[in-house]
Amino acid sequence: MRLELLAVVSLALCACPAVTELPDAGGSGGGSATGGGAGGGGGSIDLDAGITRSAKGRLRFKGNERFTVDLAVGLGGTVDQVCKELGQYDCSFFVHPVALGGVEPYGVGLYEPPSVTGATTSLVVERVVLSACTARINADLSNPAGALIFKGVPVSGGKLSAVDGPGVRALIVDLAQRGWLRDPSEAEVAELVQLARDVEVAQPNDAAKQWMQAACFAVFSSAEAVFY
Amino acid sequence: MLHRVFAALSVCLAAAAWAKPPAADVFCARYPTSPTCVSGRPACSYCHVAPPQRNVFGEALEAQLAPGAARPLSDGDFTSALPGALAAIEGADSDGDNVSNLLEIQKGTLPAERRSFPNDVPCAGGNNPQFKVCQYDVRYVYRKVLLDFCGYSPTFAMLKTFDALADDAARRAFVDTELDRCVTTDFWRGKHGALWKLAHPKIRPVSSLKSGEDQGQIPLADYYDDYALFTYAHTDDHDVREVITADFFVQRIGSNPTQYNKVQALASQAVDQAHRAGNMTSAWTLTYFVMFTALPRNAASQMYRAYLGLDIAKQEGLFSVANEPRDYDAKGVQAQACAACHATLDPLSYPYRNYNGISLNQYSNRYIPNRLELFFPNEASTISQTPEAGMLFGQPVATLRDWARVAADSDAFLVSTTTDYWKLLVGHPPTAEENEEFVTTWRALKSTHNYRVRGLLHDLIRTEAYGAP
Repeated sequence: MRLELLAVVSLALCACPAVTELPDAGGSGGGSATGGGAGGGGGSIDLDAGITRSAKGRLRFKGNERFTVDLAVGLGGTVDQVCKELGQYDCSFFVHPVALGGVEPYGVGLYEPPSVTGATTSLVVERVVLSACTARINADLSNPAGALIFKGVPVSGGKLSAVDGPGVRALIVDLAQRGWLRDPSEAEVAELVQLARDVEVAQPNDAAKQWMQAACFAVFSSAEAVFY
Repeated sequence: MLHRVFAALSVCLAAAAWAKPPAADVFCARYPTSPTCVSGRPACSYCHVAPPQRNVFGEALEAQLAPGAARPLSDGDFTSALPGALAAIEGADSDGDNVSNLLEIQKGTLPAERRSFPNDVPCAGGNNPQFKVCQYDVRYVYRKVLLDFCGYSPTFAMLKTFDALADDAARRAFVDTELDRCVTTDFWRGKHGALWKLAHPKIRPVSSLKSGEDQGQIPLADYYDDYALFTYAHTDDHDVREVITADFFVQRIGSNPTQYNKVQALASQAVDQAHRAGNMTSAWTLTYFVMFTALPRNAASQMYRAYLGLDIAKQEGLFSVANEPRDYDAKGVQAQACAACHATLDPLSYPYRNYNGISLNQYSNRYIPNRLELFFPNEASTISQTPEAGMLFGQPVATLRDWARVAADSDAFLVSTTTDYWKLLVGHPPTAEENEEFVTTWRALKSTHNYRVRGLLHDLIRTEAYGAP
């Protein structure tokens, strides 16, 4: 599910080995075209899931500070509320800063951030995002009157009352605007709605909350939210 | 063979029998527009694994260099033969990356490194709902500028407001305004902020040795003063060269916004004003890089690396001085394997001879005339002959302050400063494809912006390297 999302929304910028040449890419006017850009004199346009991909591949991981601040702002909280190991030690700035692309100059002598993300980076990203999403969901569900994001979604018996209803759609749009800084495409909305259905089968007793976590996680741990 | 070239670039080899003419100049005379020559000189590693062992390009060159002539070649024979040898292997592909040596030289990639080759894939542009792929995209730049300089992304609402601006000119003006706002924030200039991170590799802090604020277990010197001067020089319309030329200190005050104020004295600093050279003579530099040594080669090489981007350990920036190293402190540096680098390094280090590192309190971290004679009389019989005058880039420097001035006014300083920001903002050192923009940018730091970093930053965010997704 998440990989599909990435293919649709994130690979616009990054180089992906699974390139699809589409004969008709809608707005792009065709799968093979020529044109001129600042970087060169023209050539074939590579399309990735219908989106022109960059030949530059200049995506950069946000690193521990930017990633955490964006996550906090996106979920309407503070950096302090994002993630604490054992409920005490800040994940991004104390426990896992180097895995998240930060430095540790004063004690360890790591003066410059690693030039590439490490083997544990994705694990830590997911751990931090899941923590932040869970905190926001718990806060919103425990205080519906003051809820910031996870609100207006009718729930009955632990399940979403109307998976296709406007409340779910509005929540998906809000998450996308917060995490991706744009409106979601219809395909992305459909993917997240389908996710709700899938979760309902797998987690029938707590489907609504489980879906909220999964949807939040999918958006904020996506390449589009983590790279820039 | 270029071993002499780039060894002679500056000439890694010191002893008379090994000293060679500036072969890098021969190379650059043949290829003046090569990016390798435009922003400096090729390092020894261009042709060598480690002198005298050659890499594949060096081996190919050696085979064509006056074949049959007795070795070693005289300087004259070497200089005469080199252009022909270079020409002879231009069409070859020494590293097997399917790109000829000549094209690699012209594009600025490495002809001896298989993983280094030109990557100028035609950029076709095309439609993308969020980005102008391959074109300068001011909306993309806005998002990046806020992240890079303020530390956060714009919100969806902020992007909508940005999109509603009249045209791209208005948007570019808005981005410039936002950049100016962000560089006043603590994310950029505050304690542990982005500029402090830029300074880490230069200052090399050690928390256990820190004195003053956030004191460690063995407080010896306060490197926050070094960060303060670094940040001062890089902000607020100050001359960035002051990071190594200042005869004053800087005090950090407050937060949000953090202020950096020039002061004439600090309790944590001891070098007298007449002998100050910015962070080259800070208490921390003298404590950590001079430490207990008579001839502080480590201090000189670190300043060379930190502020000029030339790492002698990587055979960069070698400008051999005739009849050097003299080995005044009897460390054995005249051995052939050592002399290659010490013919450059030792003359760089002499101006530090009177700067004391760790010592009794009243003598620590200050300039002491006749320091070697007073504190190191038994170091070596010739130690007192160590001159204070040295050489930098083949140019005589009488004192460390002269060293700093020559360094600060050099192209190497401009290239190094710009490279730091390029790495920070673009995400990697300038590539061969980015070289033209890079050269324009570092040259403008001096010619257009009079060494003010603010102008450099505005130039940098307008480059295709930064702004084309």
